[in-house]
Amino acid sequence: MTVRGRYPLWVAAALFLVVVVATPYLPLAASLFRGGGESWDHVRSTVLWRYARNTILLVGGTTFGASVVGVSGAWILERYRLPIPRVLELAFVAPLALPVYIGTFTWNGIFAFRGPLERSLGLNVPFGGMWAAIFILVIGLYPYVYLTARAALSANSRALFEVVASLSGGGGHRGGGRRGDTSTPRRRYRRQLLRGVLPSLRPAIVGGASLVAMETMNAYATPVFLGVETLSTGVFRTWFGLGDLPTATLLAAVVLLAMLLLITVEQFGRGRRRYTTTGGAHPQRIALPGWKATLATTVLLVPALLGFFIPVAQLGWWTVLAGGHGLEGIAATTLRTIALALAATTVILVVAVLLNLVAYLRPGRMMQGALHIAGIGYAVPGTVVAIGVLAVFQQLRLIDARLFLFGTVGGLVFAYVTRYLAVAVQPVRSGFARQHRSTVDAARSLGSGPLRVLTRVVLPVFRPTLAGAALLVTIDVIKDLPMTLLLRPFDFSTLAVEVFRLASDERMPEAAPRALLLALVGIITIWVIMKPRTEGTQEA
Amino acid sequence: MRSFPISFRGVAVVLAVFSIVFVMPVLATGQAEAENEVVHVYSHRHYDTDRALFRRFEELSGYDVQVVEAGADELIQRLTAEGPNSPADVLITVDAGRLHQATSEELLQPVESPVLDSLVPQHLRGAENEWFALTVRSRVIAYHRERADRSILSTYEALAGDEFSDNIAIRSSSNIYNISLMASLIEHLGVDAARGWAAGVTENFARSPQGGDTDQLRAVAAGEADYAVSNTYYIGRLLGSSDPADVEVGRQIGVYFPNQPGVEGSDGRGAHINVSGAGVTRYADNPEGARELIEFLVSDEAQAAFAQANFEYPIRDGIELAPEIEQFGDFVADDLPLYILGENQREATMVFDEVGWP
Repeated sequence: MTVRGRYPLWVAAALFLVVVVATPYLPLAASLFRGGGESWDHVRSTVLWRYARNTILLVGGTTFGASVVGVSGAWILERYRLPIPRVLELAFVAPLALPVYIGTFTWNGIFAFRGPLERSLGLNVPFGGMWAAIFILVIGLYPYVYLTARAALSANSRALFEVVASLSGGGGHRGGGRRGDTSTPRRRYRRQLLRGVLPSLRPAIVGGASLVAMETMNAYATPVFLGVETLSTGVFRTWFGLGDLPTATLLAAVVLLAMLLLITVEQFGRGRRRYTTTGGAHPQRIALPGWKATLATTVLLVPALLGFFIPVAQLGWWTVLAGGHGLEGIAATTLRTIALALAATTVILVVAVLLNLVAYLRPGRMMQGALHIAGIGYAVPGTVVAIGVLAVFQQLRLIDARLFLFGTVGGLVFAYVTRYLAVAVQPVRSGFARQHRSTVDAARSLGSGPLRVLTRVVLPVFRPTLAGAALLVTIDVIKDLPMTLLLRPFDFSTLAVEVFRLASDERMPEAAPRALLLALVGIITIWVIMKPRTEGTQEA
Repeated sequence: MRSFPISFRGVAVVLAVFSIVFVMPVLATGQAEAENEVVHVYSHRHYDTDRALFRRFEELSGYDVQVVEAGADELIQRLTAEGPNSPADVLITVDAGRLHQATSEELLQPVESPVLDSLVPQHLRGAENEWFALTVRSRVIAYHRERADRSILSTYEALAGDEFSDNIAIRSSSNIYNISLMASLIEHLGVDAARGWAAGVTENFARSPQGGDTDQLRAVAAGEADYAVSNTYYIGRLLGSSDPADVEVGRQIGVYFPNQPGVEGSDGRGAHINVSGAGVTRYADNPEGARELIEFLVSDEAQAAFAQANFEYPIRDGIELAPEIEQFGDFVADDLPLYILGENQREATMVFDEVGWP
């Protein structure tokens, strides 16, 4: 396709970036045309249906659960005045800091024979199967939906709330304590909120929910451990157990195709509607009477307890039991983890903003399609991406004994970009979707170039969006396991890799100190990145 | 956030971060290489014992040992992708099937070493000396010391019988230890009988497979099942755990070595064993250092460390066992050539799929 019209250089650069990022997925795309290998018939006739059914259940259940929890939390924190809102928000997002596989192993310990659950409540329940997998994934992943929904809500203007309120025939900023004759208008008010506010949040909720869906689709350690066979676990079983890479690649491609299909259907449903808001000050938060405030706080605290504080308490207990055993080298590992995450996050955010800017300046199918491709890597299991990256480096003759370490840290960051770009592209994109086109058009008509538009008009407005994206990416890179495991240089490990080394060997007590530190690094990252936004909210 | 890349100053920050993360490690390697010759290891053994042994080898030999730990499957893929440029000198796995796979994909090279010839028994090496076992583990039947009926235990084959109905805890068939066990059954019984066995055991599941070997042992302690299948060292590890709950689980577990000679209904071929082992990679830059490292790992000193700290069996007699393992008693091991486990792996996975063993 020739690039015509405005900003040809920018468009060409963006398309080139997308091609580079998508290169490791070429074998997947090729497999769709080539078909499966020698085991394809076997897989199709014995296990494929089971894999597909379990994947649909797991992805559907997790995405639904995470969306309900995440949107409820965003709504409560944005609309109501609660005691210690900053602490509550930090607590609500905290599960993000704990990798899902650590949550899995830890909850398994909590449910275990003579574990805390049995000793305290006398409950002896086997922890496994579909319900356990959905439970672990929901409490670990709902913050993705929360963060994107909250960013959209806080960018949502007072005007929107007020329009909604006026439509409902009553003020929106009252306390909730009125009774009697106001019930009908109040109900109407709520309905209008659902009609007015929720649809405007749709890009954000869908963005967060699709991150959850993709994360669930590529989840490996959790379903394998809990005995749920999904397409993702099937990829590895076919690859390693049956030794059939073509069929394994085809399965991975099917996952990718399913994700693309979901996104396309959602886009189709959204149609040509464009959700922009007029910006402005935040609406005042509504005070809640006593018991309702308690209820709202409980709704926030239960997922936080399950997703973070209870597992962390168990990890703490294990750490005490292990008695500070084997902590040498832990500081260097921590520093390396942080440096790697910062570098990768910087690269990923720059790429995500550039791609979205070009897509914004040049609306149309081509750039929208390019954005989808750039963001799809998240649905592919990390190991598949890692092998793809190795193949690319091999083709480019970049694997060399002397260049090796360079090649691999570079390869690692490259792998992070291809995989986690989606995490940044989605929120940045919903940020652009809420951008006021008129302001940008005005700036452009005054002769501002894309870079100037970006730095002067666009970025200042969605700092919260960028902060949210940075947070998600940093945390994801800190937690990354399969790609770091496989692509890292010699004697180069991160906290996640160290934890996995021990946890996969069924030695959680020994893994606990590093898992705790990983959670700590994660929670500090969250705190640092979320700070400016919370301040901004208070200013308003 | 305040210094976020929203200006040209931001670009400078990006460049600074880049140079730190990309350039520094390169400088660091240059220094490391100048000091000592390095033996590069790809290992699937995630044990602290191994780290201690590598440090010990560095003291004794003057080499530096640098390691990447990951799953054997992934490491084999990495070796394949890297081809002749691979920096690895040694590949270590926890399963003979993987060693065979690496051999048949020509990722390992034959090693001539009188030391290895004398210290590693013939059936615990590759056919052309491409790999050498470092440790031995057996896959055994674990039973509850009080609830289980020890008299019905005899062979792996018997686990498919009605006596064990709804009473066996065993992990997923994606696990390599189960795949290797199935591979050995296919060799001894033939595919059809092995499939019948898998179907029978699937019928006897106390619960759908979940968790690792340790979790099967916990299920026995918790009363979900009276029998489980597990590798030996997991039981030793429970007994030596820092968590009192684990020790309590370990104390309730008895160990039964199946298919022993002189037991009624047993062919006496011995209990299924597997090994962890090491080989020198085909494109090793430092084959000498690689060979010396493997020689050290089969020495008496290293073998004793494997046995004591990780509850594994050494590859030859005369090495002291950990007391937790010693109490299991002597057993006869199946002397099936271990490369068969690799050859039958694909068929084993297909059998599991066919009978619906998750």
